[in-house]
Amino acid sequence: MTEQKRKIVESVNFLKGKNPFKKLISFAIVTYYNPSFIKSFKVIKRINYSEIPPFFNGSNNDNLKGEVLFVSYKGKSFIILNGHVNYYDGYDMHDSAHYVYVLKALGVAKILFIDEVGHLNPRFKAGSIALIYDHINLMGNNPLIGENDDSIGPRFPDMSNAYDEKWTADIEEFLIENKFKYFQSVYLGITGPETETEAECRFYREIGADVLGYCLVPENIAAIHAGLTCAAFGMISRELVADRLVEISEDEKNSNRVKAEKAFAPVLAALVRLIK
Amino acid sequence: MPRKRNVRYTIGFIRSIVGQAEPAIGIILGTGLGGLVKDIQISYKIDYKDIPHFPVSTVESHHGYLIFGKIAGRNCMIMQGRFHYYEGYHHEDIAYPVRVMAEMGVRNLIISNACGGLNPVFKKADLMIMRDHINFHFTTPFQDNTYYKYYNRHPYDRSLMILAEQVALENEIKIQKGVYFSLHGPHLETKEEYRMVRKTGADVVGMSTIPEALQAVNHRMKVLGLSIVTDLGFPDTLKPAFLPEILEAAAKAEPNLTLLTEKIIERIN
Repeated sequence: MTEQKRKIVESVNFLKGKNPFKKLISFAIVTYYNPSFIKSFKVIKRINYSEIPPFFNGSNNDNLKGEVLFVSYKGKSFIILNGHVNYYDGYDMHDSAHYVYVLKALGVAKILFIDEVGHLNPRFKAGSIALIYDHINLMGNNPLIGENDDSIGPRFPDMSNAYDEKWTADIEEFLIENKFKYFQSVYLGITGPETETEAECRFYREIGADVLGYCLVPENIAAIHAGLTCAAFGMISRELVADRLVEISEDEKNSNRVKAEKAFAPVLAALVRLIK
Repeated sequence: MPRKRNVRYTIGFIRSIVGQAEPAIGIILGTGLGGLVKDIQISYKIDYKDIPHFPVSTVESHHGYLIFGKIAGRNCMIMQGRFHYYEGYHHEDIAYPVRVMAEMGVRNLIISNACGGLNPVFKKADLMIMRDHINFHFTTPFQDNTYYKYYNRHPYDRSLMILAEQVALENEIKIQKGVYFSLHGPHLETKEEYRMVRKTGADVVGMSTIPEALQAVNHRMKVLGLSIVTDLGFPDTLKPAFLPEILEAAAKAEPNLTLLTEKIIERIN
């Protein structure tokens, strides 16, 4: 058994013991820390990342911020990973991927990723929702570098369907039918945490990205490696259009994000209902 | 993995086996050139794991041997089995055997690899001469050492390129020429990544070769890169690629690549 597998089994055994539901859970949401749209769900059990063995260390040696939530909503039970394991906090990419593998081992087959993003496409608007249908990895690293455990996934996973076409099309159909506003976008993964310069914004737009963020790519790669079905949303919190780039205050970012979250809450609730 | 290593120590060990062998040509057998092994008159074959300070190959489909022998009457030093960035090695580790080659007197290096084609005129199982490369590994073999001496803005040698083209023409082998883009892998690229790579001016995308080529250039070796296009990455019509299909395309191109390499070795200065 490889070191990676051993760690996964350790976490899975711990979480299985705490699982309040009697059945396997087949759906999970992975989101940034404490968005308002998860408040509508009923949390049955809340476990901090820092309680779950093995323990990861970032650069600041604080406890890993975030929780595993066992949630039920209108007869559906699922897991929410509340908080990304951020590369820019000094965590290894393998640590970011760890919780995705744990979800897989708990029986999850479908993951919905939600990240906070900035938009590069001038047609987009801060405070709205981005439906992510593909990504570009410019983080200079990924969670599969190193020895591969064939019991977890193949050595050379295929990324041609990184965000499941069928699921994304279903979501889109639903959004259109119910007249929700959204933007189809390509997500660019960069390390952060600093914001982007004007020239960088122009470059990122040039290579074909619509929105950018710091967390989603390693988790998605791990999910594809483990054979999971993924879809992703971005909450657009800031504008990063090269020729009209201005400094955005933290307050403004937050208010944009909250606005997007408000718009997204009914979408998420409906999507959860639609999950089979 | 020892990070502090001593080339003299490694060479001392190799010399104790091969004596005063003077290989002039170095070859790194990547995907699709494995069959060349059959055509070598092997003088010495050393397991990587016996060689002090050498990294060890982990991928099953790659054996790890350093071979000294003759191809087409020329003394060659051959790496059967190579190291990849996605296996967790540092660029410095990957390039270490090339350093050893250089210190042993190798002046020409032939590298083969498998790659995904992005240029719409390329077909599966095409051969390609690497004209240039774009490094997107976000690292180099020289990051934390002091061996960095020399860099040529044209890492792939022009005379070898011309020779390869000539040989291909004489033997009626179809050959393309293009720019190689290296991403770290091991996963294949997403559609939008393929689109980005094509936009940056590359013709193919792969996961290897760059550390070895950079190291070789640093020692003023002449480098020739030969690629096999094993799958096609056109973003708008992308279909899932499977490893067996990739290996099949590589196998299809193998006879031509082997012939080409042998003829090139015969005529290299």
